[in-house]
Amino acid sequence: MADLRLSGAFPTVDAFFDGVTSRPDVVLLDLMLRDGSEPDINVRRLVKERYQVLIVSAWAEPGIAAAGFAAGARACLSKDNDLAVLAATIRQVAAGETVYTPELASALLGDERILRPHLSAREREILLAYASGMTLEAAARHIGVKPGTAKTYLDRVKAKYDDVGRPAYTKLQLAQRLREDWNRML
Amino acid sequence: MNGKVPPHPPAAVLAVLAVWNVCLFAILGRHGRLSRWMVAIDVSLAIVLLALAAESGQDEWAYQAVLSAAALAGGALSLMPAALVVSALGAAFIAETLVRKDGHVSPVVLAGDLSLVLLFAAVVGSAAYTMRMYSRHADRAASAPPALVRDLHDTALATLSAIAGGRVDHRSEQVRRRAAQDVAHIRRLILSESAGGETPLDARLRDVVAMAELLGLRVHRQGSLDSSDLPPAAMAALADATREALNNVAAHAGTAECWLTLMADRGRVSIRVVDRGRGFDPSSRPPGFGLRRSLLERMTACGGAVRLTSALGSGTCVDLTWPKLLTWPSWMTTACSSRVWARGRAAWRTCGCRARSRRSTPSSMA
Repeated sequence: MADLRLSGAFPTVDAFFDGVTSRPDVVLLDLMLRDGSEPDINVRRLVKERYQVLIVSAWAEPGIAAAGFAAGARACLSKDNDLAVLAATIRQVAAGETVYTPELASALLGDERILRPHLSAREREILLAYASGMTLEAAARHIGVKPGTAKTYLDRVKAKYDDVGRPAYTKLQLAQRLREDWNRML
Repeated sequence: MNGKVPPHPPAAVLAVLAVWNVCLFAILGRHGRLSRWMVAIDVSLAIVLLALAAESGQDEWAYQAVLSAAALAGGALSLMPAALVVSALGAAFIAETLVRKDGHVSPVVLAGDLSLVLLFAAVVGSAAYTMRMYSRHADRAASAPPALVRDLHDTALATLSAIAGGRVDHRSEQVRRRAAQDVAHIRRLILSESAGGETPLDARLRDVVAMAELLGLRVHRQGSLDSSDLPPAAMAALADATREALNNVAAHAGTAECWLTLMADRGRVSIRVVDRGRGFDPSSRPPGFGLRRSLLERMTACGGAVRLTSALGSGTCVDLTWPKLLTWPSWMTTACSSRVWARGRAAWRTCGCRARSRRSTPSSMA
């Protein structure tokens, strides 16, 4: 783990913004912070400042983890994973990849929020394969497609969630989003 | 002509009816539920009465017997069997009426009589269903807390008190591993609590997983299944096959980590064991060559199916599926007579699954 260094630990996102000295490559974010702040808002604040966010939580309710993903988190891990798994995931997230950990995949499958995107049968299939612990190759083989195709499905899932998670901070942005959605529907 | 016939069936038939009704109440009082044999007897008596009524021309007794048999069937059988029995009764009643009246039957009157038969079956059936659901929920609610307490006592509490008492070093690898297992266990408890309590299959799999963890395997377990409709044979086969799959990971995969996922999809129960180990070339004989055969034997014997996918260097996936009820919702079969039907369906599906697995094996293994 020579390439990984802990640059600081903070109880809340506010404390992180106040106290961070050297810009970290990856921010590990717990879903339950001391100030009781909303998990997806925390993710969004960090992503807005162009941090790569990895959610690490003891137990994530599917909807909450999925909301974090929609807000731009790169991956989601439960805290009982080995150090090696955590380190490998941190490296991937630092490289800007989205990592479909079994936790993340099953959170997306179990997502029952009203604002969840609609996933196609194929997309759900590939997520199910990931949720049951498969790697990209194994998942692709399992559902009978090429790894490249499986990757495309995952990218589509990501795009759909990004779309749902597009922030609308102001009334103007909200109006713009409504108009975009309306035009797409027409 | 009607004036000449006695208004009731022969005394012998009445005596049989009386004895039968006494037996019915006695059995019901002892067992608290109606079996399909009782329904069969009651229905045949009603049909005998109908046959007599067709001759005598007096159908008061027969009609009442039809009503009560329909109600009994509605209360004791699940939907499809009950529907079959009630339609059989209805058909017999129509036949009797046609014979008795020489074909001069008013359709309106006949429809009225038949709808009353249907109404009896439906009212008693839905009341019985409500009671069953209610008692099932009550059972669950009553049994949950002690199980939870026992669970925590045997796992996390034991680990914590060993550490608190200073008997073990909490930094040792052994304690760390045990604590990790406890964490996984409590997480599963939270999940299964939110899903309505631990089911019998969950409990069996917990033992299987505990054994695998003794072998040094790290099992990430996810999902929970409502196993109330699984026949014992299928539950045993699923648990045994899961154990073999986990043993195989421990022995041959060259990895200590695997994922156990429980799913129910469109009425199919499915258990998946995945590892990211060395895998095997499906065209050659896999290591632990008994695996495929023994899994297949176990699962097909109970009416389930196995799918094994792997490739060199990219892990193995074992899918165990048991076709629960594809066509009917689960509550329809929780009635007393569900087991025979489940067996029949399983046997029927075994043929389908064998054919399907034959078709899918070459493509999935290629």
